[in-house]
Amino acid sequence: MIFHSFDFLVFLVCVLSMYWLLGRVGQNILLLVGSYFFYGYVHPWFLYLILASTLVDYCCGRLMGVMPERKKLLLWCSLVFNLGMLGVFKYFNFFADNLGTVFSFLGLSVHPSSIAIFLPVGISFYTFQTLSYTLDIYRGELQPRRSLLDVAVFVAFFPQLVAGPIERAQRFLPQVEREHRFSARDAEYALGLIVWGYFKKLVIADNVALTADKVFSLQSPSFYLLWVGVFAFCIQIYADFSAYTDIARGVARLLGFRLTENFNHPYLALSPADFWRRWHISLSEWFRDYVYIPLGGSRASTSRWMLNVLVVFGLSGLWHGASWNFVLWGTYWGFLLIIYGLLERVLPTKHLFFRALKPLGWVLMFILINAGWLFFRERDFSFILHDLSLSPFDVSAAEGRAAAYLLAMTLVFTLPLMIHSSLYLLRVDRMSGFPRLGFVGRGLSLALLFVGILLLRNPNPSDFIYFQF
Amino acid sequence: MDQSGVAARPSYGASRRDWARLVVLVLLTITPAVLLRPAIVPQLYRAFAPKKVAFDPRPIDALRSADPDYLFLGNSMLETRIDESYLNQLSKSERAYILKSSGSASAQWYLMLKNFVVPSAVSPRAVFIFFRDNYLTLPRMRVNGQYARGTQRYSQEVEPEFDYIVRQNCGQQVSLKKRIVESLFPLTTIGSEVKESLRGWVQEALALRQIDVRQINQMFSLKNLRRLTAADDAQLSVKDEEFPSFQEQRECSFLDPIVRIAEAHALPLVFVRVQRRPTESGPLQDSPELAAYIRDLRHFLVDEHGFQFHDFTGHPALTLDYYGDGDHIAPKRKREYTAIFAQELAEVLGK
Repeated sequence: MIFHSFDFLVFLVCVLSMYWLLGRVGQNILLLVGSYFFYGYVHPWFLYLILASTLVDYCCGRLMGVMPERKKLLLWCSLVFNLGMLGVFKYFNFFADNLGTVFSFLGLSVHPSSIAIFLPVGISFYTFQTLSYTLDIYRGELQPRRSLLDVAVFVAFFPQLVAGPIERAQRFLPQVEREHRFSARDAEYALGLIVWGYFKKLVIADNVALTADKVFSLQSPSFYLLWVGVFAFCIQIYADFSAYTDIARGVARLLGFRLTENFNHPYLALSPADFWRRWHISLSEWFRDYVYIPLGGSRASTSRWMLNVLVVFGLSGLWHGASWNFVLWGTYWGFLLIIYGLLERVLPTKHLFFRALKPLGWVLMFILINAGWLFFRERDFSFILHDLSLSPFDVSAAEGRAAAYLLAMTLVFTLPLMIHSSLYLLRVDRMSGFPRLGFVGRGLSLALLFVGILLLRNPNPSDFIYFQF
Repeated sequence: MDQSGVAARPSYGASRRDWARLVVLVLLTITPAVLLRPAIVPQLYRAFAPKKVAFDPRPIDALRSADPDYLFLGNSMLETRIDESYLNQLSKSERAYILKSSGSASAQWYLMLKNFVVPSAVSPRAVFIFFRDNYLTLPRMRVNGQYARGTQRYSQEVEPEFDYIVRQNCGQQVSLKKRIVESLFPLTTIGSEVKESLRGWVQEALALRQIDVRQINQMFSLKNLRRLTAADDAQLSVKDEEFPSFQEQRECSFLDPIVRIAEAHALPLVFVRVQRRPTESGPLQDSPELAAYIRDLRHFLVDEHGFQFHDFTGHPALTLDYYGDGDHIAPKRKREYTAIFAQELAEVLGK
């Protein structure tokens, strides 16, 4: 079920109208039934997987509490089951195809068969979420829960089930375990998030997607057309993904839950590390806490630190998809982090001279971010190589005009995001809420956004991009 | 460390003041959209009233000059399959003519027949219509959005039958959901015109002339594209569980008007169903619903109206290597496909 469908609106109204009449246990039962209905709406068999993941981790968690001497073994059970499930459904064909390529290269005619495996939507998100439960119990940071219902709600909570944010058990379970009472203030905040989220998705993302899709469907775009297409995708993916998060946070807020912030104006980043503290924050923190720091993080030797960074970002790339372009994208970011990290160790970046260069630093970072999106969007390596070989001088006047026109159309739809980021820089807005605009200011902003949705929405909205991950 | 007990939470509650704020905020959000309606701000709706693109009569003269023996209507399915000049060689005719319309569907074919072919008074020996699956009975396919301007170029100032089928859904109820949304928020009815105006303002700001805009559109024509997007292909197929019968689909479609025009003007129609992209192991099998539809379509066209119907689905020669992107035939295979077509329709082509 997708957020921008009439079915979801009906579903949400039904859930909300019953939710506030119930006590804590009733609320959680309703949330669980509703979440399973939400998830299994198109493909009911997806439910077997999420149920299996929930049961395995619940049992592993309980057993860790009862048999602490077997904690490591139980953690391994949880890891093997969840990552195995992810591996089979997401990566089986990827590894089979690559193994076949290796065998062919070695002169062996062995072809591991690819099988048609349907990727269950949201599996990358909820397996990581449920793993945080067993990992935190193992690390002694969380007590195992007795209530299967509470754990199941934590895993399947529908607002963030299919595209995050990836919630941590430590933060989210206490919310599941208390009763929620209606808060008009929360509903007010939720309204802002939801309207802004729908605007970003239906107006910004779906309209700039037309430019990105047009350019990336060309056999041989010119240099400027290509980079306009990349810029359009840069805006599309941010608007699309952050829209999902905002809607998810807004809906969760209507139910009395507070989900973690997942974006903090990422395109204002001044360095790769800064970018990853602002982009898909929940995933970055997951990898930081469960992979990077256990590997030694930045406290290891320089060479080990570099390896840790490459491993984390290679895995992060792979998390996004079973395709080498995602690994390339992840590794690209790994190298950027290493280069910037090394430069920061050598150069006095806090010196006034470097602080004065911040605007240039921002421009450079924005260019590097866009270069990364090229690898993310372009699945075919031959096209990536072709794109990188284009000359900025070999462009006709007509191609220049086309690039200018598409850039202008993209900028028109990017304007609201620029205004939003400006409000943030001016300390008017705190992330995705509009609390400092004042009540009337907020109302007028929401009115403008709502009119914008009605007038400018793409009549053929696409699925959220991160559903494919 | 977490607390395993139920944590106390500061209660905002729902005081009257909080409720009032919430209600006022919701009203502030939606009221402007509700108030911006034709009765209150008619100027807004006048400013963005749909502007019809003028009818382009040039194809009529082109048809008259060509005076073809064989006329072809269709979209890129046709364009990627038939090489006119090669077909002329094979059929020993100089006059095969494709009435080009990429991205067209039954609405455009109806308009082209009515507004180009009939006025041109040409008398081809055959009028071929290339289509996929149930395209002939999808009246709203590719009429709006990016296809609207092209459709209007084929339309006269007033098209009552077109409007009846497409806009009024043959007098049937427009969905309740759509009616409610449009009556509450009439702004939704001028959305496409607002976006069209936005495009126009950007073009003006960049001092782009019409010829520049056409050149830009040309850059994205089929021959420059890498492949169909998955969304484009997904748009074309109807889920089997939703697949109505042929009679149900025919009821409010352009099929009957097309047949009626052809019979009234003695245009010998030949319907050519193209084969969808096969798999490595062979052509896609029609679902039972689609097979029944095709059977009924054939009966309607051939048995009831005496037209011809040729179905290339399952043709043994049309293997996967014939195909480029999606259901298109690869450019290097176009002549071969034309030869197969000429052979299969040898009787029609007078060979």
